[in-house]
Amino acid sequence: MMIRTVARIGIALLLSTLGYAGPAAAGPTDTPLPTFSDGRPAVSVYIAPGVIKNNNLETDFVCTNLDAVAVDIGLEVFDETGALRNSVAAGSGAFLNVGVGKTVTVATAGTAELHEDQTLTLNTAGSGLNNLRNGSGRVVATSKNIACTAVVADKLHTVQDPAVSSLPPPSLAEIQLIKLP
Amino acid sequence: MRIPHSVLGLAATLCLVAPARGGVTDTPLPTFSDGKAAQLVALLPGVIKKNQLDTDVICTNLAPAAVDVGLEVFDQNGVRGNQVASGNGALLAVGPGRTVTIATGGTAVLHEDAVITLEAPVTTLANGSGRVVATDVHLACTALAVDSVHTVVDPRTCPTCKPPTLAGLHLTYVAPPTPSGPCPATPSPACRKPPAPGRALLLLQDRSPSSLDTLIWKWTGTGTAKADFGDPTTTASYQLCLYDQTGGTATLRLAAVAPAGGTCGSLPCWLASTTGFQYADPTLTHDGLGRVLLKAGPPGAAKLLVQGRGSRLPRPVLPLTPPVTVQLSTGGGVCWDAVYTKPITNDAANFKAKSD
Repeated sequence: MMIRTVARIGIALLLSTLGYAGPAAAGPTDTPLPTFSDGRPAVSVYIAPGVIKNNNLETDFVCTNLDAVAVDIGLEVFDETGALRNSVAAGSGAFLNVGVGKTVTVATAGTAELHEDQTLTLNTAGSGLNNLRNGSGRVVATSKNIACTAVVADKLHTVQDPAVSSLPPPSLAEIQLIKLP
Repeated sequence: MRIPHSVLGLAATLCLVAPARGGVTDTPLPTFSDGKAAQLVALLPGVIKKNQLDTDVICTNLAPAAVDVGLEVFDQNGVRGNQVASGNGALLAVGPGRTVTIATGGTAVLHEDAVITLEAPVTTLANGSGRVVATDVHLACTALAVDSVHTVVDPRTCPTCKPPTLAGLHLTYVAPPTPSGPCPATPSPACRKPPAPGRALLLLQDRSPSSLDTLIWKWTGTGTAKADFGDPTTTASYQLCLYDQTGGTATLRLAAVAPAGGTCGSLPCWLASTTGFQYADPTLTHDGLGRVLLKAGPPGAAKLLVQGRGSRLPRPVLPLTPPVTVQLSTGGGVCWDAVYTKPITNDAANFKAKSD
């Protein structure tokens, strides 16, 4: 009987340990949603697989407020390990009170061709490297009524008039965003 | 024995039109090298590997557990060009939240975790197709056609260096990728249920304009203590998750969240009472939810109510595919649910049902 009791305690301890050893929250699905610095909680609006910050390619997110009231909008980026690399709660990648019909742009870094209202500074979580090769993203907001586009952009080149310059134009490609219900 | 001409004609016709297996839709799905069967996640027309263009597919695991991920490519005749089963184009045990990249060739500008080697008789993809397969369908992917030889070089140091050509390719998902947020991909198995059939009501109305859309979920059930609700005035967010059987498996079709704390209009969103909590948001800011009632009580007296309306209400495309499961849960793991197998109404504008 005592052996059985000890065995049960052992199993309970093992299960308890396994419980604590469960996977840490990671990636755009199970990382807890942030609260904006004005105290308003965020909801997920889009998932963006294929956020790239590598070899002079950056990713720009352009979002328009379609709601009838001002909303907060944020971009969270995750590296290839699933680690969250910026803090919307601390203001990184966040826009507060984006007016009705207004459009904001946040990018993984500044680009020569596109306009950015804000650029991210990556923290040292996950890979710890100053790149996303290749990562993912999550657009969060205080309302689902926003519309976004994401573009991978060459950060160094601009479009020059070929009549006066032989410099090549930048690389650009849209990445497929997934709107959440 | 004489065979009628009509039978001969039919047989000849069948022989002529009988399709060979090929392409992304009817080639049998592979088994990964760890013995796990693959499921189809998404189709990708326009896979290119020709003239220094390659195709990169970047996928993020949205499932709560590790998954195997593979990319199969097919040439213009529908002939498969790689064997995921032997590891060609496959990555095993990709952890939750992780992102991996599989490509038809290495590129100078992008990072690839796996590169497919085309297998005979396929030598080029000009232009072909592809499909993303995995041991769990809850993946989100992006695809790019990429110039494999150029990189982005500062034009101040190399004015003649051309940056690479890049183009986004459109993936078609077999089922919508798993929504993020707090709802799990499939219903939780251990939620509290109504004590008898008919004790939980679900009503969905899809109207035009969408400001008239409505969601009502009422539940009366097993004994629930106020402590089971946590404290939504500070920490316990509540999420309503609705699943149906789209595609033959449990599929999340609606996720609506009433976040913890916060101010709705000029008042706190959540108020506590002696028996539970009530959420009221006249602005319908969060997923169109206007009211959530959590009332503790003994068996038969505990009550839950979720009401939403308007254009911010996430709404699945009706009709739904029964059985439909609705679950209300907190982040802490306590949940309550009801299953609806035989709806009273289930058409393009209305879903109404009483629980099993």
